[in-house]
Amino acid sequence: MIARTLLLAWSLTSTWAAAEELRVAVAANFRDAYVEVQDLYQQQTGVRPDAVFGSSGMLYAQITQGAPFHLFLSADRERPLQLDAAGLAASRVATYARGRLALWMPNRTASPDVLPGKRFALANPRLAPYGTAARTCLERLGLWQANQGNAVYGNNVSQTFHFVASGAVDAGFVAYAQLLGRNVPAREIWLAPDTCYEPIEQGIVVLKSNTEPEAARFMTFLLNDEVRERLEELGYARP
Amino acid sequence: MSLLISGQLARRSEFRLDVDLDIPSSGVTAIVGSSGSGKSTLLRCIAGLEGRGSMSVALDGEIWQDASSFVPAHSRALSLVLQEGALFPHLSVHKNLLYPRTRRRGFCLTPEQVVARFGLTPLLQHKPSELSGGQRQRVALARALLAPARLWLLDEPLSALDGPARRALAPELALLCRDLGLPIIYVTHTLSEVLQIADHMVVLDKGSVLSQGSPAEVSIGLSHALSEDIDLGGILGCRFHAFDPLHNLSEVRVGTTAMWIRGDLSSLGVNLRVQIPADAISLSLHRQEQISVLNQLPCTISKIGQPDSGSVLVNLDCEGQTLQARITVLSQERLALATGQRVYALIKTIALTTRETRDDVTAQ
Amino acid sequence: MSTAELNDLLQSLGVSLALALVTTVILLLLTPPLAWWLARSSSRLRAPVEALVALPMVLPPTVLGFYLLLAMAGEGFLGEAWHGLTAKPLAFTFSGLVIGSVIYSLPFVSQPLAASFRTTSDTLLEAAAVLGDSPVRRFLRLVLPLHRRALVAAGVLGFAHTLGEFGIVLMIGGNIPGETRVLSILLFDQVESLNYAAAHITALLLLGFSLLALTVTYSTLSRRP
Repeated sequence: MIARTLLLAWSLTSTWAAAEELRVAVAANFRDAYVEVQDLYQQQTGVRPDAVFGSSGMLYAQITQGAPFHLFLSADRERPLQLDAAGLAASRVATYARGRLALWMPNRTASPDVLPGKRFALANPRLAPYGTAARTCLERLGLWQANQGNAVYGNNVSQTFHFVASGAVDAGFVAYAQLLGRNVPAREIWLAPDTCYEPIEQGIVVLKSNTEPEAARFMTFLLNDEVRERLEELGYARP
Repeated sequence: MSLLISGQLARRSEFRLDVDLDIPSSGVTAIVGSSGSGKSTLLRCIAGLEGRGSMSVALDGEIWQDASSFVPAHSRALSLVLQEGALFPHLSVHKNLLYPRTRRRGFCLTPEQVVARFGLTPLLQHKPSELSGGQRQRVALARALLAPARLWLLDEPLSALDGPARRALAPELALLCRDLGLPIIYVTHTLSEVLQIADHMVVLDKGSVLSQGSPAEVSIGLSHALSEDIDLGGILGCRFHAFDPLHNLSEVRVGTTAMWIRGDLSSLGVNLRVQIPADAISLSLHRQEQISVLNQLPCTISKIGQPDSGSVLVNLDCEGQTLQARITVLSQERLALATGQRVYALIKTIALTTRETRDDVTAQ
Repeated sequence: MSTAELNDLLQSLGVSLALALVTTVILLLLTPPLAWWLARSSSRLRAPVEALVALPMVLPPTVLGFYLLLAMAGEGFLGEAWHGLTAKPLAFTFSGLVIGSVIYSLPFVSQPLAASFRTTSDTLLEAAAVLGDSPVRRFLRLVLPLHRRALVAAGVLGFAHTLGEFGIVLMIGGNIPGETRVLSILLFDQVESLNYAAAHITALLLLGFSLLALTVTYSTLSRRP
C-alpha cells in the first residue's frame, strides 16, 4: 500500500518535471516586467516559464555551482558573458532590455540638486549595475564627492526600493520600471538622462540543460518586437 | 522588655504555627519541640523570612510586622544563624566575615574579636568547601556576630553537625550565649544544648505553644504530651562541689544531698542544671545500702498521676524542686505509694545528662 | 589580497568587533536583572515575557529586520524617539545596528544567566538578607559574584552571536563602510561580486573568532570550581 503510494507520487513528480516547465533565473529589478511576459508566453504556448528572482550575483553563483536553471536573465551583460566563458552557455548572450536609472524622492519634486544634506539609497555598486549607474551618474554631475557620506547601500535594487518606500531614507536611485509599476507620481521621479551613466544592458543567455530548445524558444520570444514594445511601456529602453 | 509574636501561619489547611507569645527580650529563651513542631518557622517569622501578613512581631514596642506593615528582614536589628550555616561558597572565610556591611544599629563585634574568640586565624584564606562541618558552623556564628543586632536567633545551630563536632562546639556556644549580653532565642530539639543556659523555655508542639516558663516549671509533666519523645522528666538545679578525677565524677549538691554526675563539670560555673528523665528514677521507701545506684535523693510525693498503659507518673518534691518519676502501677500498688509520703528517688549516675561532654581533640 | 581589500577587511573587522563589544556590554548591564526576575518570579507575566525574550531565537532574522527597519525609519516610533533625543536619524547607523543586535542577542545572554540564577539557594539569599543586605545589594554583592562564571559565559556567547549576525544587518544596515558594513556583510559582498579569494580570508577570520569565543566559553563553564 505504502509502496504503491510512493510509486504514484514519484511518477507524478517526474511527470511534472517532464511537463514543459522552464526554470528561469531572473534579476530582481525585472520582476514586475517578467510576470507580464510570463503570462503572455503561457497564453501563447501553454508553457509557463517559472522564475526565481534574486540579485544577479547570487544567481550567478548558484548557476556556477550547478543550480538547475534553464535560462538566466541578468541585470548586466558581464555575468552571462562569464558563464559563456566558463562553458555553461548554450546560446550567445543577447540584451533583452536596457535598464533606466531614476531618482525617487517621495513627497517632493525629485531632482539631484536637492540631494545635498539628505540621506539617499543606491544599490551596492559592487554588486548591482543600477548601483554602478547611480554612482556614475552622481560623479558625472559632480555630486558624488560631496554626498557619498550620506549614501546607504542596498544589496540589490529591490532592497534599495524598500529602503526608500519604508521612509528610512528620503531618496534613492532605483530602476525606472519599479516606479512605473507602482504608480509613483511623476513629480517624485527624476529620470536620469542617458548621458549620465553607462548603459545598463541586461543580458540573457540559455544555459546548458536538456531543455535547451524550449529555453531558446522563450528567449526568442523575449527578444521579439511585441515584447520589446511592452517593455518600453514598462520603463525599459530598447536595447 | 519583650518580644511579642502572634498570629497563625497555615499551609494547605494545616496550621504550621498558631501562637500568641510574649518572650522576655533579655537572656536566653530556648524554644524546644520535636521536628515539625513549628519552632524553625517561628524563628523565621521573627526574622521576617516568613509569615508576612498573617503574623505580628514586635520587639520592645517596635513593630516589625503586623497586618498592615512589614519591616524587611535586612532592616531588622537581628542576627540569625541557620542550621546549615549558609556560608557564601565563592568567598573565602575572611571575605565571608567581612560581608556584613550595613548601617543598621545594634551590637556587634569586630572581625578581629571574632577571629580571636573562635580561633579562626588558620582558616581565613580557605573556602567554605575546604572546611569541616564544625569549622563552617563556627565561621557562621562568627559572621553572625559581625552584623549589628539587638537580638540573636539560633536555628538549631548544632543539629547539622556530627557527634564529635557537636560535642566540640556545644560548650563554646553555651559560653558564648552566656557572655554575649544580647537577648538570644535558641531553637533546638536537643534539650541538653540549652540546659545550662536557658533562662526561659517555650515548648512547641504541632505549631502551638504547649507550655512556657522557667526550665524547671516547663519540664514537669510534659513527656507524655509531646508528639515525639522529648522526655523532659525534670530539671534539677544544683551546685557544683568537686571533681573526682580518679573516677571521672563530679559531685554536686542538691540542697544538702550529694549527687554524682559523670564528667568534669568544673568549667560550667557554680550553678548547674541536671536533666533527669522520668524513666531514670526508681522509688524506694528506705535508703538502700548494697546497691550500685549512687544518687539517692530524699523527696516527698506531691502528686500521683493517672495510670496509663500500666505506668504512672509520680511527682516528687525535692527540697523545693519538682521531679517526675515513671513507675509501673504494680510497683505503686506494692509500695502503697500515696501523696505526702516520704520516699527516696534513686537515680543512676549513668542516666544523667548535664550537657554534651567535650572531646579533648580540638583541631581548631 | 590588495591593499584596498585589506583595508576593507580591517575596517569591517573593526565595525564587527565594535558592534559585538558595545552590544555585549549593554546586554551584560541590562540582562542580569531581567534574567533574575525570569528565574525567580512567580508572576503571571513571567511566561509571556520569557517567550518574548526568546522570540529572536526562533524568528527568521529577516522578520526582525523588517520590523526594525520600519520602526527606525523617520516616522517609526524608534526613529522618531531617537531623533527627538539626538536630532539624528536612527536607520542605517551604528546605533541602529546596536539596537538591533541587542534585541537579537538578548536571549543568548538571558537564557544561560536565568538557568544559572535558578540554582541559587534560598538559604544563601536569606543569610545575606539577615546580615543586612537589601534585595538590590544582595543582587549586586552576592548573586552576581556567585554566578560570575555564568556571566562570563553569557557575555562571550552574546559577543560571538553578534559577531556572526547577518540577516538583521542585511535588512537594516545599509552596508555603509566603517559604520554598518560588518564582516559578515563584507563576506556577502565578496561572494556576490565573485571575489572568492578575498571571501575565503574573510570567512576564515569570522570562523576563527567564533571558534575562539566558543572555546573560551566552554572551557570557562566546565572548569571545576
